[in-house]
Amino acid sequence: MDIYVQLALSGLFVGGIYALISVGLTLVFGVLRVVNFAHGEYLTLAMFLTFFLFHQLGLDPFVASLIVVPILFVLGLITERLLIRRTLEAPHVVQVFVTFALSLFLQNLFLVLFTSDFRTVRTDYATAAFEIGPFYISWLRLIAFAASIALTVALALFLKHSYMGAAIRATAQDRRSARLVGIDVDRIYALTFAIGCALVGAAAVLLAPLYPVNPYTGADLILVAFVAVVLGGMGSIAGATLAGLLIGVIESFSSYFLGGEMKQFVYFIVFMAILSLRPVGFFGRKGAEVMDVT
Amino acid sequence: MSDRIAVDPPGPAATRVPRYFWPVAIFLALAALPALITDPFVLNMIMMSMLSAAAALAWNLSGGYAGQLSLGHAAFYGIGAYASTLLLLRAGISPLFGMLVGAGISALSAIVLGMITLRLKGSFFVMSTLAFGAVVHIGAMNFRDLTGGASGLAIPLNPSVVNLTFANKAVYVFIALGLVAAYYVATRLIAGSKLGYSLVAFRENHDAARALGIRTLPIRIGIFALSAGMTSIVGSLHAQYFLYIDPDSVMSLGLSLNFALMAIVGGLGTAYGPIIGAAVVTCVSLVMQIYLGNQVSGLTQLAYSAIVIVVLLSLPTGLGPGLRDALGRRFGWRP
Amino acid sequence: MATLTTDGLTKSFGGLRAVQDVSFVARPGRILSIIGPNGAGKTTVFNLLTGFIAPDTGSVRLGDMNLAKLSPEDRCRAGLARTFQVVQPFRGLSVLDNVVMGAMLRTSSIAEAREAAASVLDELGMSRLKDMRAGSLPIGDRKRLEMAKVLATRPSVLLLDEVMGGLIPIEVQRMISFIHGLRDRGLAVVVIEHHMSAVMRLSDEVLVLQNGQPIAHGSPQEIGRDPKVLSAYLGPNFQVDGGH
Ligand SMILES: Nc1ncnc2c1ncn2[C@@H]1O[C@H](COP(=O)(O)OP(=O)(O)O)[C@@H](O)[C@H]1O
Ligand SMILES: [Mg+2]
Repeated sequence: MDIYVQLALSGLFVGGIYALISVGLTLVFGVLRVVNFAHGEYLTLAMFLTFFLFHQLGLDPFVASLIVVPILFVLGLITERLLIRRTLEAPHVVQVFVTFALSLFLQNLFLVLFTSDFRTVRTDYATAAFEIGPFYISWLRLIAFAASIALTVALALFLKHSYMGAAIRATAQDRRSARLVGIDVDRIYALTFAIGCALVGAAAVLLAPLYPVNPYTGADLILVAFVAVVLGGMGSIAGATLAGLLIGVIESFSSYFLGGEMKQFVYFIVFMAILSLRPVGFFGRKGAEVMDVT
Repeated sequence: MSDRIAVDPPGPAATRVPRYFWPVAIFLALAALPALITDPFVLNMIMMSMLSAAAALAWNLSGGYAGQLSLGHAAFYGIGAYASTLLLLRAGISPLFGMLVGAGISALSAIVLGMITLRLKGSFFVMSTLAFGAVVHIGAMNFRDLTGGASGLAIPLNPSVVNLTFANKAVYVFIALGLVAAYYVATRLIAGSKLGYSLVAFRENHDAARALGIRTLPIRIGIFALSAGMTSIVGSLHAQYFLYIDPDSVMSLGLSLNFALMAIVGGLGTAYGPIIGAAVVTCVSLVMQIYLGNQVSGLTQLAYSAIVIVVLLSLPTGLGPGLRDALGRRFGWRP
Repeated sequence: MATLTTDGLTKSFGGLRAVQDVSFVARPGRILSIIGPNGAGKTTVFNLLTGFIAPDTGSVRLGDMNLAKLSPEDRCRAGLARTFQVVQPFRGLSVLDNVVMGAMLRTSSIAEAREAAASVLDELGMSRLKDMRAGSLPIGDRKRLEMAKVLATRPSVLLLDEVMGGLIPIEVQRMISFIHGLRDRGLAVVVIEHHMSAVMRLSDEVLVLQNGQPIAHGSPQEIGRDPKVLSAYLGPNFQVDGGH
């Protein structure tokens, strides 16, 4: 019995970070209607940044976040302006493959700059843990989880209660009407994309002390995020959060019972099952994903 | 779907030479290559480019004409490679037959996958094919008893036609060239048929197609399966050429991406586009290797992805249609 | 040639009753016009008839055949074809190829489909446009292309949704003659039109919708005189234009 609780707990903790990665992805999809296939590379980038700030300047990852997150935000603005904006009205093939090529570009850029070696942020407190009854809880994981959830809640509050948040939601609902009521939709796109990147930056800071990074780290993790985003319903932040947590738990159980490599197998099967049974996911808007076919 | 995707020009070509003159001439010229070129590095490059061209042609049938942007086609390539190889290693069955079995398995998987995922719109379909590719890749890695896992499978060198194994690598280039020619002709035939038109109708405007009585789902599943089967055959040939396969070399996401990008760079939804794409990509990587050397493996890919982004944003119909228009203006030739 | 019969067609979108209890018969060799203010539910009626939207209640029959279970593509195959108010060209294709897509329904040979398409374009006076890209046509020509595509499927019942929008008067006159020609060939034609004088000249019968409900049904003359129609739809200052 205890083992199940322990597995669920560690799954939840990792799931919190998955949720944070997925939330950025789903937000960008919800507003811009673009799937950013390079989302994972921004994660990699931010993890490398965290690593170098830690190693060169001795900055603790949590302090580094004050630098990494703003940098990612700005990079998001730049990417949106230079690339994403040009694809919004373009054929679907351009949308998909521009972000895919961007992902390839960044991966290889990291490869050229940093080689494929794994790098680890080794903090003194990495192994600090405490016990509650029979359960063993890592401080770092608990904090990463708490921070992820806090950020997601903060984002939800921002979207719900701020003027900008309302403008973002209006744009997600219907971009043409948003434009008619005087919302600067182009600015909303840029802001949203930048927020998505900032969120993944925050996730990277939390991940860095837990996971080693190499040029492919983001590409591996982003597949989980896709699953979470679809499972939660494309564009739904609550959905992505729940799904991220759920996938963390599924992964934790399947890697315990089936072995580490099979865990991916399991959640891809889950993914295909959702797509065939309920492609709108938990909270997705109907009509966005399935066409009428006969 | 879009007003920027090229379509083969309709109707009888405005030419003074017979319709197939240029494709046949180019084909014959290429056929002379393996005889003339002896440098193994270049010959290998040509072979790689032929394999890519054939796979890109296969991808293009579904991805280009029907707009079904699959990023899981490497799974079919891998199924082909593993099917023919395992049948040869385990049962001594000729790869000539094994590649057909592989094609059949791939086509069947595509039908099942298509029935689930071809109802999904744009990005959802792309993601579901990504997941499919990943599942097959992970499967090949983990079912070690069958596939040998990450250490792969080696095919012993027993040269014979039945074994589809040849000591002289140039023979493979001839075979691959034949495959490219066959796929090119198949594409032309499909593009000019009711099937091809119906797929394009779906791609360009789904509702309009339905309103004209075009039943799209069966033909979309059909072309997806055909495309999968054709990709699978290329995979079998890949295995026979290298005499070694592992999951990363025959079913990686990078491979899927490559098939798609060659077709896109060359000209999506045209018969010659994937060939041009493969040729251009091969030349670019040749040049890169000469100038940048082999040591920095990421640089070629780096330059390649940058080129792809520039092409997509500036010439979304691909290089082929641009070239074609130029040739058409200059010589009145519309391939 | 077949008769299209619809009975008690009703559809709500959320709280909005878009179409309520609409019934009519479209007979071969007759032109029925559906008119009504913007948002009256006219286009929705076409969507219900052609199966793009499923009705809450009500039936659609073509001849003796109940269409309820048929998809839009199968309804077109059965001979019930429609144009879209917001035109739906295959933008990247030539005008001829757009029409070929329709003509393919009646032949499996592309060569034959091209001939059939060319002759439809000829009938509509669009031959000189055949190599233009559909996406680059001006709106009037797009409307005619919309019509050409559909005609190439050789329908027995033709539903035309505001095909005269954007046409200049002389083109309107030509379009009216053309539709009369289709009627004389025995097609059943249902027309949604805003252009009142055109409706008066065109129709054998007029059905008026308001807020999804039929408020009048009769000959153009009756409709032109009906005070309910005049005040509800046409406005108090409206006068029927006899049409020149
Ligand atoms: N698919 C739909 N979903 C929700 N509302 C719709 C849909 N189609 C039409 N409507 C609404 O139904 C009403 C009737 O629309 P429509 O049939 O297009 O009117 P008309 O063609 O007479 O101008 C309008 O209020 C419109 O907004
Ligand atoms: Mg309307």
